[in-house]
Amino acid sequence: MKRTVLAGLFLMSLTSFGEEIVIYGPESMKWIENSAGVIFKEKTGATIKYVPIDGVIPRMKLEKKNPKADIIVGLTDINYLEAKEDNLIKNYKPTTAGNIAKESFIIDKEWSVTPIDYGMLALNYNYEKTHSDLKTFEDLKKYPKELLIQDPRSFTGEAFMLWTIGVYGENWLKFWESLKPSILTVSSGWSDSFAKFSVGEGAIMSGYASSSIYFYQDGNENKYKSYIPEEGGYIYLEGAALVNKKNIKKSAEEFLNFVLEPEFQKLALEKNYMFPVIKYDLPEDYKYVPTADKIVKLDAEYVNKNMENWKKQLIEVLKK
Amino acid sequence: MRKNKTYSYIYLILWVIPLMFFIKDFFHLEEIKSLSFYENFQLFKISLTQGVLSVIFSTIIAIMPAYYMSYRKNMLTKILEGLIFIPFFFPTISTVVAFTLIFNLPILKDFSILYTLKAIILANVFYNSPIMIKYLSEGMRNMPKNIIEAAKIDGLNEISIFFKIKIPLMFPQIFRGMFLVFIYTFASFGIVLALGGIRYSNLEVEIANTLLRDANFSKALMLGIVQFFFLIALNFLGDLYPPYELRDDYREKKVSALITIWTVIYLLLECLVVFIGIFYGFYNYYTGKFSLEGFYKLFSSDFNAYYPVLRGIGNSLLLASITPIFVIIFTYLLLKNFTKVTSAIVFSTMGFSSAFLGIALIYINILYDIKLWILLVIGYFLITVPIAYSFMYQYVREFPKDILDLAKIDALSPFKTFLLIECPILKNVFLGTYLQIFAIILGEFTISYSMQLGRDFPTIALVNYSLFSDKKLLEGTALSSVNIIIVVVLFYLSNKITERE
Repeated sequence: MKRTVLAGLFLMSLTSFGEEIVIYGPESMKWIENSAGVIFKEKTGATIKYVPIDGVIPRMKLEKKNPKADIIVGLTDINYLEAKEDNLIKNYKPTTAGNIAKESFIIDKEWSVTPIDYGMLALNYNYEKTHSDLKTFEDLKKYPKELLIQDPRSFTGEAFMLWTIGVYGENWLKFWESLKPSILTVSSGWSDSFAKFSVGEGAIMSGYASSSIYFYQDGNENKYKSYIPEEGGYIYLEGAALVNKKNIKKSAEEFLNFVLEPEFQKLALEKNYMFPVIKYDLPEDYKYVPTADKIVKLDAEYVNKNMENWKKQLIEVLKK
Repeated sequence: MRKNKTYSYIYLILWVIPLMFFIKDFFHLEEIKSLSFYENFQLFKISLTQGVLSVIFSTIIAIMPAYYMSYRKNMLTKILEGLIFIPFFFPTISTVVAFTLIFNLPILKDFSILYTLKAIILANVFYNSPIMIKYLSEGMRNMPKNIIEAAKIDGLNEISIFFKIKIPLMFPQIFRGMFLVFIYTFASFGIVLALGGIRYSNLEVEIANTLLRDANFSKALMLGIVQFFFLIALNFLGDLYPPYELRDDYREKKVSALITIWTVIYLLLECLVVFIGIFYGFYNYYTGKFSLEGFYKLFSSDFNAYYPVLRGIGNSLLLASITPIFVIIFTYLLLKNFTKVTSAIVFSTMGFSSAFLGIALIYINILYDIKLWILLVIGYFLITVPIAYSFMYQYVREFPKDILDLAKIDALSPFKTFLLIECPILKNVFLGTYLQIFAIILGEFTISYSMQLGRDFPTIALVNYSLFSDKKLLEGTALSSVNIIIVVVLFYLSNKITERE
């Protein structure tokens, strides 16, 4: 009997200690495996396998019958609804939920998604090429064939589209029509645009306000700048969620507890160049990140209802 | 010998099985009904435009070098012949890298070629014009002298001879070349994805985007079906023009200075693209100095912790070594059991979307946990059988019947006939085909990209794409150089081996 109990305890310890959790998310969050993974292993004994996926929600739909991932990261305060409505994610309130600094950071009251960090969209530009500072969305039109934007089916492309909808309302497509001469190309995603921008293919790109920290750290703060147009800024929250599957691993839940701890939030600052959702003193570099007095906001349910149609309309304009 | 249709059907079933699982779970008729005809017609039009323009320009550009190749035998001709390695061996990613660098050169940048239709067509012409040279020169070279002489005696002038005799005789050859170029450019992926942008997305790119980003699987399937049936229809059109069995002795002819100059310029431009692909591996784009830094980094353990270069090379070499063995054995059996349906089945699959095949294969992995490398071998097997079929057709089908009859008289079993008679004679053909399939798999991008295997089973092409996406230009060009050097060596070896036949 004693032996059976011991063997049982040993097996139980094996299931939680030494467990591997699979996380799906965007390419830009690969640091989760190498950096956050080390700390997570020390804390829980579980290892993280991070799989970069282009289009996390479509992949989850493909895997619905037999999900391979335990966690998905990179869901936003907008697109989480699509995953939730499709039963792809499962509610879980982290034990560390109390660490969240503001009520407005809670993406879903039912906790289908846990906020990780937040950021602001911005336009990054090469001052050596524009020779002047940009201030508004309309300023973009002064530079023909210089703007790098992303496919609206990508994460950043979708957010940029929503930003323009927030600013221009019903006239958003007219704005895009008039912006077309300035567009150099529509990249597949942010990484691709940033690569092109870095090698000087375009003078301006739609991206993130916190890229200014990267420019500063690289000693390029005079060459590359970021601005948030006077028309209004756009904030988005990023989150992580449990994948809805039969056997939810204990360490998957522990990971969601972990993302709201200071160690993970620090990494999100350093590696993801994003803002923490818990109380945390920002490093000195963050003073270079532009801020906005006016913020535009869209209702998640309204967006979710219209998203597919908006993307279709924008793609049509971009293809013309 | 009794012909066995089974092998043709096995090949067809191997294609259908992965697709069936996917279609069963994701095809919804109501989603098809809601598709916009106009939107999809536009997509088809873009693919068609790219295909047609690429065929036209590849043909025009190839006429003079093909003429030169037909009537001269010298060093230039040899190099021209060697260019055929580009469409079959040169990796797509290396083409994309080379053209991105070329279009960004200060003298070309002001022309704003990158991300336009011009960029796609130029890259397509570079990639496919050697196919047209091969087919055109074969047509010109084999033009029987006696027919031309007879036409002259009948009083036809040079122009009439060209249009009334030469063109109709050469047409089946030209058509085959055009058909190949059209298929490759109509369903092109890497070039359109990287050099075109959203505005010029063709059916193949849209299928990948629809699968990976929209999760509109029914729409992707519909687009795949349109592409498939369109290319099948074209394939059958080719059967209306069977090639004439023409053979004539080689004869040297004087070629004009204009043709020689054009040929030299063409050759220089083609080689320049290949050279740039290699050169930037040794040249630091940022500092303007020669260095091996990119190579050192590429193979360092620190770098490999983030970019699995060594794993990518290892995986690609593994797949490229294993797959051709199955491909050659199966293609041999297909050709030995050739029936009326064989060619139709084999070539019809050439029009199927590789991106769709990739997704169907990853879906099998999701459902049944079948190892990724096995699925990749299956995927590469399916797409390379038609290529091996083309390479081996002539040698296996036209194997001397008297030798085989003697084997029958000696009561040798088919296996022993193969082992003791056919294999020793055809070994160089098998080896040449092996190396060609090896090189194709080494550069394959579409299937592994749509399967999103960057983390679990990276390949050279995927790591290279990821390096460029992350602006690791130095390391990316270094890896591209390594890839080009490997395929050039493989091509040289394969040529040497098949020359002996």
